[in-house]
Amino acid sequence: MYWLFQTKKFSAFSQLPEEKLIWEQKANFRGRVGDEILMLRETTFISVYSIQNIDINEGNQTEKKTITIDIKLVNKYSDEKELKDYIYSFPRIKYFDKKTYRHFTRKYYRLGKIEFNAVNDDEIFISRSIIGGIINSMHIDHRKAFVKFLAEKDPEFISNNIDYQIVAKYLYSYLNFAIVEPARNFQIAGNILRGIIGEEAFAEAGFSNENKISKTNKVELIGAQLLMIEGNLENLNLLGNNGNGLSEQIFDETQQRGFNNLFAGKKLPIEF
Amino acid sequence: MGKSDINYIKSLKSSIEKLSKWESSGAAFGFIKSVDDSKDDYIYEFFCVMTLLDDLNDHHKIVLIPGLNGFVFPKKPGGKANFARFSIKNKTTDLEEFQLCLGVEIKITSSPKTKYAADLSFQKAGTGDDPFDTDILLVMDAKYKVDKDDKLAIGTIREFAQCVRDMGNPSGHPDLVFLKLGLLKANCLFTNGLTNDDHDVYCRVNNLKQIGCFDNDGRTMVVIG
Repeated sequence: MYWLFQTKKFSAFSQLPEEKLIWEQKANFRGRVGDEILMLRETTFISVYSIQNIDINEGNQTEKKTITIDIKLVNKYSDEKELKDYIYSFPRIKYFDKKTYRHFTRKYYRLGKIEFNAVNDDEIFISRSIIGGIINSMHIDHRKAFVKFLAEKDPEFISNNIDYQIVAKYLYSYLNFAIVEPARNFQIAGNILRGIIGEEAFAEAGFSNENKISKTNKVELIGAQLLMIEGNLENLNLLGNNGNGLSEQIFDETQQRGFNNLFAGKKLPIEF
Repeated sequence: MGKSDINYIKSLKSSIEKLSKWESSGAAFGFIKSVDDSKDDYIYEFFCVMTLLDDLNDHHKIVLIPGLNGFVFPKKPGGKANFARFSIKNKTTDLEEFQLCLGVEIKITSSPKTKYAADLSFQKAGTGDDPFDTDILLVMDAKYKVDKDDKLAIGTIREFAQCVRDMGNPSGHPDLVFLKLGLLKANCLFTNGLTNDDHDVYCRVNNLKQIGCFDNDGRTMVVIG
């Protein structure tokens, strides 16, 4: 079996090769010798231990049990493994923003093998991670617009039964018309403007929603936007020019089948 | 598979987070249909106007004139005085020949309370901050299509035809000289989608042109009307 331990709930834990963890609880601890424990320090996975020995002091029926386990270090992660990079591979996670950590505030949780491997071997649920990652990275207005777009295409996805391959197709299409194409048009137009009006005027050139500029109504500077587009648009080209790039990237993975079963009936991972 | 996927997704997330908003304000950037207070076509309009100016820049001298807000263009139609406009000048004399404005409200002489906010308008030299239909040399509209295979709807064409009529059927000026885009010296309805070829005659009769496939993707522009 596999477990996740929140290390801040074990003040004595200091990541030594061998440790003894002691705590009290009313319920039984179902762990067994040989089980592996993923250690989560706040929101960073730091190591894996295996259980060497378990001692449960039963006490009276009404009292709490004292549980003592001896654990041995199996793997100390040299690279940081941030929880946020793995959130789309845990079925229990329903919040995909700053509230994600609330899912891991108890002492420990039992994990499935697929979840454990997702972190330990970086075998994440790729399609869900890309789809969720893209959606929740978009500006909130784009997130709302995408849900509207998806609902128009296929309302089924809003309620349940996510076919990640089809959602990826629509997400790619949305990204393309709502962000990539406008960014390309903006880039071309901005560079022409710069050539015509010169650097001095260009540095101040921008857009505004309102007739009067105020402290709360800032000018959207064209130059700053161009610079940002130049540094980031290329990254999205990796998704492919023919609309299939995203799908090819994430669905050529036969080992992802286990995730599909694990996440059956789960809603689209989107945070508003 | 593995760490490289995680790093790929990280970098994708970071780029999308940045590209989906304005660097200056954090407001959403791109084409958003569902947000009411945003004029969704303004980036495509900007692309259309700059493509025109790039071509006009060969024969004319182009200067950006600041409005009360400075060198700022409107995201949605606003008062002419507040926003920047282009002055299209004679290269030899340096005198203004035309003005090119983005998203400016134009009054109709016969019914001044009814305004028309043209996406793009060519106005006569020296036109003031309160333009009327009689100041207009050409009007243009830009329709960004989510699906590039979508044709312009007849409703959109009719609506633009009415705007052209409201502006008194302007037909340009002999001194307005394009380099390669001479076909665009007309009241143009631009789209990145497709033209609706069934209405070629309607466009001719109503003094407008549909400009299709007007985009950055290398397709050949299609002109109907």
